[in-house]
Amino acid sequence: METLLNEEDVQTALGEVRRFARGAVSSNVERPEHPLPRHSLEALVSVATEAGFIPDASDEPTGLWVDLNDPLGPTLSARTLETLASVNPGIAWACHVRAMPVWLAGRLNRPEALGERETVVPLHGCYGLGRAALPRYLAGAELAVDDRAMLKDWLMPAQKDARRVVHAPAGFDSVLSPYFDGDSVRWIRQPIGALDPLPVGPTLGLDEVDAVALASSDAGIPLGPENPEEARNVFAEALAIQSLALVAVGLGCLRHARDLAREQAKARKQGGRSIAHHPAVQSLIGSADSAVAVVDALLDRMSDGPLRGSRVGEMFAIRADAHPLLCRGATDALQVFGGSGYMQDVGMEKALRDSQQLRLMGGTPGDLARFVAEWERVR
Amino acid sequence: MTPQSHLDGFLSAEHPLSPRGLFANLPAAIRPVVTPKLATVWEQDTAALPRALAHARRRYRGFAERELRDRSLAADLAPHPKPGEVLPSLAALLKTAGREGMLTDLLPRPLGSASLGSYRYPLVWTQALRSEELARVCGGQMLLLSAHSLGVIPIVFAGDLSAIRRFVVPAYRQTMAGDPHLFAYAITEPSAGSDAEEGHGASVSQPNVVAKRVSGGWSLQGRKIFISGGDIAKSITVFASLESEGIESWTCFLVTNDMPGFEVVRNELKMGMRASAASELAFHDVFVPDDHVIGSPRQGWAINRATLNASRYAVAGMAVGLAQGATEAAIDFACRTRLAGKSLMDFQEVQLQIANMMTETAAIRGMLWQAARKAYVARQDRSSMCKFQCTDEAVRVVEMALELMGNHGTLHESGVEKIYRDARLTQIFEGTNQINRLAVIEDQQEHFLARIERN
Ligand SMILES: Cc1cc2nc3c(=O)[nH]c(=O)nc-3n(C[C@H](O)[C@H](O)[C@H](O)COP(=O)(O)OP(=O)(O)OC[C@H]3O[C@@H](n4cnc5c(N)ncnc54)[C@H](O)[C@@H]3O)c2cc1C
Repeated sequence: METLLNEEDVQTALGEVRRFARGAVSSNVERPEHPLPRHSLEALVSVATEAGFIPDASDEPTGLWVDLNDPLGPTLSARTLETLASVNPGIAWACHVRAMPVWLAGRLNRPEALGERETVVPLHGCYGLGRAALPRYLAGAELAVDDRAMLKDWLMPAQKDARRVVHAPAGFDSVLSPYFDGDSVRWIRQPIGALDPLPVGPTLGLDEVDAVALASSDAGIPLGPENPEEARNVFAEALAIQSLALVAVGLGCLRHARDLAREQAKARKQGGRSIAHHPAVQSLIGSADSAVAVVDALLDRMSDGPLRGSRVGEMFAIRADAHPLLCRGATDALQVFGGSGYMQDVGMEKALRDSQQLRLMGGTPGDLARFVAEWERVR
Repeated sequence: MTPQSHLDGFLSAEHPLSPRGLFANLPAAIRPVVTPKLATVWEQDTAALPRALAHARRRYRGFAERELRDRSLAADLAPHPKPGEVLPSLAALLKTAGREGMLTDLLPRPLGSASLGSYRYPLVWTQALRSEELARVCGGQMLLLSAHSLGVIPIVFAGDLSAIRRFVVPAYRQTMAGDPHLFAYAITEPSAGSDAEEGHGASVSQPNVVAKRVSGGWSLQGRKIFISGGDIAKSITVFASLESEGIESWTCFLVTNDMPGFEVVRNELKMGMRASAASELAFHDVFVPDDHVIGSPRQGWAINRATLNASRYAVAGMAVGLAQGATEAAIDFACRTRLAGKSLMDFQEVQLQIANMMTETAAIRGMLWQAARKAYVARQDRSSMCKFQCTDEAVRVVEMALELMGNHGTLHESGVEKIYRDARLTQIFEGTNQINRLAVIEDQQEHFLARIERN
């Protein structure tokens, strides 16, 4: 694909996203204790789609995850999500969820993969990150029988009650599922009816989206790719995109929490002066500040250049440390508020819950670190 | 399915190299020394307690399993009731807890429900065991039951026998008869949170709740915030400054919820511990008769500090219980979840994580018990050390449990995300963990000053 974006385009596009976030999104989420009603979330996502921030099924989609071959494409997408998340991480995640199937359908060259209503792409299998089998597969190493069994069961579990959990606004009608066919990770389009979707109630964070548990089934229309090398690349790219999304949303979330903590520290007096003057509070804010600065640099690094599946190891290595840092920053920012940080109307507890939720999705820091060790060993 | 003889990476107990079998072949004289009985950590710890406390610990666990377990997730999800209302299932819990003596154990039988045997050991130790066992099953219900005791402690610590006889004993009697009469403890004000927990801040703080002298008593004016159980308590130990004075004049007043001018303004929407409300209380010229002053006027700050020194052990106990609950949930998950034909418990990374969680929990329990077993006098430095160390470590343990369960841990039904939300509070209340660190230094101040002097 030819290179289309320049720095100025990216800044202009991000300026528009910022206006949308600070305008329409912000006015809908002023009360963190009341999660956004479903219809408002849908309305916002529609506006974002119309504005071109999220791609749709049209011939010429624009927005999230569209220009990934462009050197500045990953930056634009990641910073778009970060900007949205700095106002509301749940809405940012919903936008990412909406964009993923469009990316995948385009990448597989199967436009018919998209559903009538909504489609989702669950990437994490039933538990963990496929242990050492996944890095071996993605690095093109020889797979043992156990590795094959692991990949198969991880993506489409044999255990009857093992379910994959999807975090997305409920109401989707089809699922693009990865599965391991004994040789490669390929894709299948599954009607929701085949997956016995089970709403599993509230989750730790991302209140704006639902958690739906999907039963295991191999029913559906295969989407390829046929070529094993291509299949490997597509799955690695999907995982890399998800990593970018998780870190970008986490960074936006922490930026917001850090800003609120700064304001609180300025306004609140204890010990005879503004708490901003207490070294105890400075340490807390400094911890949030340094987490923002470090993860900001890491996100730059992750989104540097065109997106390539071969960088999935680096992406995972970064995520493994970025999420604990983001959670540390969020919990320290909350602590600046003392007791009011624990109350839902202040918004800090939500930021902490969201940060923790993001840490646990798509592979935990421990899963990611072990992936990296094996990836580096075999590649 | 044939039962598994050993976990992956380990030898079965029957294997010739397994210590269990080998120890049995050692000479009879040495065998008992090197062959411990097969026992869970719970059994080992309980057996290490003095008999009266071991009995209490088993009773607390039995109560928590029987009464709290099934209510836990539903009570967490239920919308916060309006001030003064209690969810029917929690109202039933309070009645049962009252009848079973779980709300009256600060006084010995027959005035309360504590066994005389337990009085041979520091009260804070028993209270820490209690909060651990209750929090292990449900943080919110634990707080509902424990905030009440916090409200009673100032009356006990004022050493005011008349107040104990007039206020605590009848309330305990009513409670043990199945009609719970709850207490709450009110120090925090909109302008004094940490300042109500720490001397230097208090010395420069502007009081919000003020008591004005009137004929026959005092008139209270102002607001308290974040008061656990303040919405349903019938009696509240309220700390107020005397007119035109600072916190050094703090006086503890026993305010009852039927006193004209007392208002529960609202209940907060909290992150966790949701079975217990945190309430804002307003005092609109509430008349409090002289005989409702606990201790003497101006003794409030001392009573408050003594109360916190004692109650911070119980907060550390909560943290241990929450860590224990998370560890057990993670173990359950690892034992019932299979991946590629194996139980998660067979994977080394899972085994390592579980060993970490068990050990960190044992470490904080050990720290707490070690401090509490000597706490006939509740020391500020020790109680604060236990409070911040146990709560910080407990949150880390819960994070490990979440991480072990991954995406599944984030689901409400897993119970662990709730433990995380509950545990986060323990780092904030009874003095933030920052303030508790400073409390350690304050208590050791003389020693540091002496060293500075020497240098
Ligand atoms: C759910 C819940 C239940 C509670 N239950 C009760 C109850 O039953 N009764 C009751 O009276 N109170 C209760 N509290 C109040 C609780 O004890 C206070 O929230 C806590 O002491 C912190 O005070 P604050 O909220 O005003 O925070 P602040 O004092 O405003 O603290 C804000 C930040 O500043 C820091 N800070 C403040 N002063 C200093 C200083 N001098 N030096 C260094 N750092 C400083 C703090 O560490 C914190 O990080 C409860 C609180 C909650 C959240």
